[in-house]
Amino acid sequence: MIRFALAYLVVVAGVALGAPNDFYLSFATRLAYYGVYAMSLNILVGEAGLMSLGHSAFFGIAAYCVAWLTTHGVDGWTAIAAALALGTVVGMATGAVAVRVVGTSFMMITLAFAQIAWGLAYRWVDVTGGDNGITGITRPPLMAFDLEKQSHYFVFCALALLGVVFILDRLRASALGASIRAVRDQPRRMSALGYNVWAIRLAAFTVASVFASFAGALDCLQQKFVSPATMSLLDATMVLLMVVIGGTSSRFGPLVGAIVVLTFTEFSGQFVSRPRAALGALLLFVVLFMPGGIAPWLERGFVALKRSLWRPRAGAGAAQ
Amino acid sequence: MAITYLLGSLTYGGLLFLLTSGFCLIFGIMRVPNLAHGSLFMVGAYVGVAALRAGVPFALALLAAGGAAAILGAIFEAAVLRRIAGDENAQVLATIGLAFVVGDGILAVWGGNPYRAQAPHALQLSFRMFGAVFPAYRVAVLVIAVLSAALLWLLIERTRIGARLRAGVDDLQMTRALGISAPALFTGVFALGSFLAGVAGALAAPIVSAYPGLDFDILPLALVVVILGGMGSLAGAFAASFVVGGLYIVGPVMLPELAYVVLFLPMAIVMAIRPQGILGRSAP
Repeated sequence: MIRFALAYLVVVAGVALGAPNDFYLSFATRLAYYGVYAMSLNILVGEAGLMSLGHSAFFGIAAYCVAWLTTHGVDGWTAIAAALALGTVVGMATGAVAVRVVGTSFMMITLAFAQIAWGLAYRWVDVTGGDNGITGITRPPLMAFDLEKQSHYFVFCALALLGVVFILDRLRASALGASIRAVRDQPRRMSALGYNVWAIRLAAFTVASVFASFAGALDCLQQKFVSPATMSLLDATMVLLMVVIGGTSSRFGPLVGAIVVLTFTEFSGQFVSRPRAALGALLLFVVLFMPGGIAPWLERGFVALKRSLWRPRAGAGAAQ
Repeated sequence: MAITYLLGSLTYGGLLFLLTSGFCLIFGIMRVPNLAHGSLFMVGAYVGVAALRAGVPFALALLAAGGAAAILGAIFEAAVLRRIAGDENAQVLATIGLAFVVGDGILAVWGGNPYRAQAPHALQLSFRMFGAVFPAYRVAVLVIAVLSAALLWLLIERTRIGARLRAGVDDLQMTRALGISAPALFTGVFALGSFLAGVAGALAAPIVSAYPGLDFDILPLALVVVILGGMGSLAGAFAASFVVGGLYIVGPVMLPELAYVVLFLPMAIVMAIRPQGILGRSAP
């Protein structure tokens, strides 16, 4: 997984550095933290089997937290730490209610929470600036690096992505990761074995919201702007689309999905006049014809390629 | 003042009931949470405004709006939803995909400006009662909504089609085993639900006007109603529609900054205490 993340970043960096201007570098930066965002949602969708329609709430809350604090004289790193703390608290509080139910009800209740967050951002004008959002955010310096330079900020976000990939890999391999998957597949059996199904789901929900908050904080510092649109249903759907297009069963599916969806939304405007309709059509296509997502296809192709290039060592086939 | 808000709440509640009754029918029978329901409402609003502007009589404009939404819904059910029956996540994503396509399609046809039509002449006057001014159109909307609720009740409780629908809600497998065609039932239900959403949109158009983004403005309200009332329960949706209509009209006046909290917090509380909704049956 780490190797894949590295390859991902090499490709992304190659695209960015070979490009004529900062636009591609900004795009590559967004690829990095949207990767974090999509992976955080996949903890819920893929690992815990809970499809959330309100994940953008945590992304947005953290973005607003960083924006408000930094524009009120608080140091950038303290602001990020505060955003993570807020994400944890809000994640635990809303998760405690939301994970009491599964399936459609879970989707609806997470949607409701995201709408509350969106409504607060939209209406609480004194704090959030309403529809105008908050502007004038600056990136804090990191030791000798000036993160205001796009190339430096890109490297920072890329390292952040690697860190998150590493942590999530450890989580997956841990006892908690195993029990999250077990609760997805066999909730009754886990309950009969004495596990607290609700607490395990809550743990997954909280972890997912913390990493979404991290991505939101990075987004705020990248865009230097935050508005209620970050928490809209449209954005919640977009990140869900990343996870589904990439493939929920695969560990690197969300990263693939982030590339596909962001590239699509960013560049499709040049080829089709209606990008949102195109996104909708893409969603319908994936649901109808590639229910497993893109990643399993790629994985199979990659394994075949590996086979043809190297002789498989004993047991190497079982690695994936 | 209070009476004006009351009427506003009742009108909005009536519109919400028309919208959510369709959602409830679809969810109750097909178990599909139709997130394109707001889009069908928007299609109804635009078609209704277009018809009114072309000088079509009001009643016909409502039927045209409902019909357009019904045709769209039926095609979508037959072409897409049927292929992914039983896969809840895929259905949710497919309906979101449809919502995006419809939203952008409407933008392409009618452009980005709000699209307005006047209420029919006969309903443009207003009258005074209890010291408050009542616009006649709002009263008419309320009457139409209540009449539709009564018709829907008659259809479901007193006709052969209704008996099939109720059978489908109670035990779909058994219904199919008795020889009732499930594909026809599903397409019919989806068309009927879409029809109701379309009529609600056309009725709402003279009040809120048709504009891009109407779909995702109205959808959360419909979801709140459905969850408060209990997924698939028409009686629950009827009661919850007026509660939410009231919260939607009065909330922004009382607590402008917390309008959305006022709207969504009751739903979160209900979900926490009684996940199946106030009048809903426990999930199967």
